[in-house]
Amino acid sequence: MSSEAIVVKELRKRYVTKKRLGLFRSKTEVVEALRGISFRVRYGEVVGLLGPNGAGKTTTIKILSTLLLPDDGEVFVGGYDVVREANNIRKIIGVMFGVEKGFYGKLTGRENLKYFAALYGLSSSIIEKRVNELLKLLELDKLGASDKLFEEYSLGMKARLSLARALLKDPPILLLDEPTLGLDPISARKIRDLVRGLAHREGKAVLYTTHNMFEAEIVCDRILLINNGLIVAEGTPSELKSRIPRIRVLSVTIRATKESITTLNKVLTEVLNDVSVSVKEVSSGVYELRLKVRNVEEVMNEVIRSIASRGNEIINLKVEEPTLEDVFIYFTGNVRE
Amino acid sequence: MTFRELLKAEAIFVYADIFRRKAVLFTYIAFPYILTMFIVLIGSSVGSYQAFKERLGTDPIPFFLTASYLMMSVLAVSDDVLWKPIHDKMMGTLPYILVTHVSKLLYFITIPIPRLALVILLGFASLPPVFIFFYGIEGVYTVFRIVLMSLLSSVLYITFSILLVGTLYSIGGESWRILNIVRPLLLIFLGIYYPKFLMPTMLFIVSSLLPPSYIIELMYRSLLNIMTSQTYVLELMGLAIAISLIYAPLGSKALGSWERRKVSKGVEV
Repeated sequence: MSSEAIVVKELRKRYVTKKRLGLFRSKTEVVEALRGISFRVRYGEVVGLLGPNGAGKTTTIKILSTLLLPDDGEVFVGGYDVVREANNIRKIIGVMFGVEKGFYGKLTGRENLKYFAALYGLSSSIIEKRVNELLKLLELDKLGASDKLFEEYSLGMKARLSLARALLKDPPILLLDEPTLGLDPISARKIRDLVRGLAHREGKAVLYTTHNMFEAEIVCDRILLINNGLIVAEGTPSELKSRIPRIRVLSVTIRATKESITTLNKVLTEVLNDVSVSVKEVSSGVYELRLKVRNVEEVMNEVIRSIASRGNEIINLKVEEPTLEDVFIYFTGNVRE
Repeated sequence: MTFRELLKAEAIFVYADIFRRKAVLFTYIAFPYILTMFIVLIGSSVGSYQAFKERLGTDPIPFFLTASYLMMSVLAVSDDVLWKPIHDKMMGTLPYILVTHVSKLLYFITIPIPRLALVILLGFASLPPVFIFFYGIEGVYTVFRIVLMSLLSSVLYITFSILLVGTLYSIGGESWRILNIVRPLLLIFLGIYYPKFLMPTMLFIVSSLLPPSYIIELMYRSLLNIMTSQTYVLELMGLAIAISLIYAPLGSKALGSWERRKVSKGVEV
């Protein structure tokens, strides 16, 4: 078996949509959802597809899961071609498209899993055992959710059940589209831990889409940053961070008067070259100075001296490394809120 | 092996819905009576109970009870097959169903069976009191005949329903509106409320394309005491089975075409 679970070469997808201009008039528009993306996912790794809304994440997952035909390019999942050998791919993938929907409300979690297990070709002797294993693994039995109707499930329970369904066939490849969207921290962590475990302990290949930078950083071994249908950057979280200009943030919390903080802001901007300074009042008489600098070591002494010489008390001082969010903003051009 | 598992799965799906909603279960039991009551009440107010008996040679109550029961069993098939993709689209389960490697034809064949089985069994509970009242102990024999004929006509309807769902949804997508137009037309073409042998030629030809229409015709001939030779009975049954079998590969092709259309446009997730 090849070590590569997913191979995507120059994948393109265009949607033809109709823009309504009134009751009777409409205009045909072509939207390029994917503009020639290429990537690979190996067994035993979690690869994150990270991008803003409309970047092409779900389109990619749909193509890989044989629910959408590509316009151009080559896509192989488990060595099978997505266009010609879709049925073979369906045997070896587990999919999860969001967590809100996708089950029958009048069936319990257990019944839903049994239903899909049968649909995925599992035999009766295996179904019972596998469903029980998964209910235990996802802790749905512990939550008392196994025999509860799906319509009574919380979002966290729904997400767990959805992941359980993706694992029914024990597939070597998992395609997970925003599996933790809207979840409470405990459920989200459970899902994240499981996904990492599935890749690292069981050797599954996982393609994981998310908007969540924090999540991508802790779950994914590699990240593909996708924007406007193109992969704009690729690498491990630390590789990606090292690729953006080394601008770090020096954050200093000080006790000062309003006048002295205004003066300090002016002085620091004048004295230090190529530094952007911002001030935020944290509480009465306490301010946070944030200095975006290329070389923290060079300016540190000057900053401390300027603050102390004006009789201001330093409460806290820290240096912030760039986050994945900074990487995301740098490569996609999206502005931080 | 897969067929058995699929059937079990569909049984869980259907029975959970029916038994967890008591109103649905009650409707199943009471439906033939409610419908008969309405038809007889409306019929009596605009026409004559006696005239019906004289013209058709049978009592309207068992006639319409049979028709309602037959309609229920036939609808159990067409409704379930036509409704399931719409329901799955609404519930968000459609992508998870399309992504299975199991034969879609097999899957669609299993869809109506659990509900049909329930309807057929309920026939033994809802039909005998009326038939015994009208025909005495002979009525029990008639009930058995009706139930068996209903079962046969419904089973033979499965492949046609699959062909229909594949064709309709390939053309117009999964839509309630299509279903609402098609359902009443099917009931007319099947000859449930208007016996096939009384139909005008064009209607008769269309009706002949539907396998259950042959069995339904036999049932009405029997109910209306029309002499029918054994050869004719076997001919009609043979035709119904043959047409139904022809529809199986066509249905499979139609489902394939529906799936291809969905995948080329992209399945909504």
